[in-house]
Amino acid sequence: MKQVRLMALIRETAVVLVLLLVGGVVMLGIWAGGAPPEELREYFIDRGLVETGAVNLVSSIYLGYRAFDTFGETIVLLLAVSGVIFIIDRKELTRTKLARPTIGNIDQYGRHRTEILDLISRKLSPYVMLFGLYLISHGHLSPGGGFQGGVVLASGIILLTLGKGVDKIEAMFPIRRVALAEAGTFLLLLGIGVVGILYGGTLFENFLPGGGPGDPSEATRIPIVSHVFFLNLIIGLKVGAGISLISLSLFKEE
Amino acid sequence: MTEVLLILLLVMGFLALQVRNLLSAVIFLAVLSLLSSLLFYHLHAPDVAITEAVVGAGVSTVVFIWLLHRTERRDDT
Repeated sequence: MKQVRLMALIRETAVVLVLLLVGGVVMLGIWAGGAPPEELREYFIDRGLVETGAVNLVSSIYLGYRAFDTFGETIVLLLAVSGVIFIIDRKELTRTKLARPTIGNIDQYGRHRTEILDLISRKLSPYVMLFGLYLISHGHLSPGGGFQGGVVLASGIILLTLGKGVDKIEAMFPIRRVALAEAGTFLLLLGIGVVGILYGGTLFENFLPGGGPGDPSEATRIPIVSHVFFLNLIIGLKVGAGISLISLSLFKEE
Repeated sequence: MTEVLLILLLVMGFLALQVRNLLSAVIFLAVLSLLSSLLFYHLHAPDVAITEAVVGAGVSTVVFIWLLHRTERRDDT
């Protein structure tokens, strides 16, 4: 017994030492690195709004200038979803209804169900989803964007699932269709990138016929920000579908 | 303000590591995420703050609690 405790103590000390070492190296890197280069910062502040039209400088950078990185992030999410689907048994995912019905306030898993969770989740989740849509559609104007909005959208669906049970929510959002939305929006994103190559030579080049945001020459022109807006919309749908898919299949597996 | 938040983050991380009830550990992690989201907001990064609040305090807590539901509630090591 004493030896076990000694081993645990040694292990904990080793972990703390390694953590301190790693932290020290990181802090040294930060202190030795000096100030970040100012050229890019000045460039983004000066030209960001004019070149991408997005008032929110963060989304003008990550969708206007560095959409390729965002594309990589969506691939990461796609891999996570694929992993969950791969691990969880496929028969479980396509299974239709549970045989045991809900009796009184005991649900089909034999758990005691309270009305508080049911009521609050039902009243709250529409507003959560609305906030997600706001974050997605105003990502170019205010803080937020496709990724954040998509996750908020999915958390609205998770909230509904916690209240009503997975079977009812799965009837509204069938897993097969959510997976289709995930894959379809990914292909759409890929297509937009490729069209950008064909149009301007680089991935995710803005191919919409846009003038600047304050360009008065042609009133019928699509504003230049619509590229960022559509990318936000597609990424929001993709992330929302992906996170909902992961959580729905996790809940369904139990 | 920044220093207070950073110290609270350390405290929350330490508590999450030390506590034996894993559900409490998950809740400490959620509070840690919420505090770091406050920190990001205080450092003028509202986009990151939204992401941290939603992913760290929201979705990952749900996933962790689902995991606890499937496995053991206590850490007996």
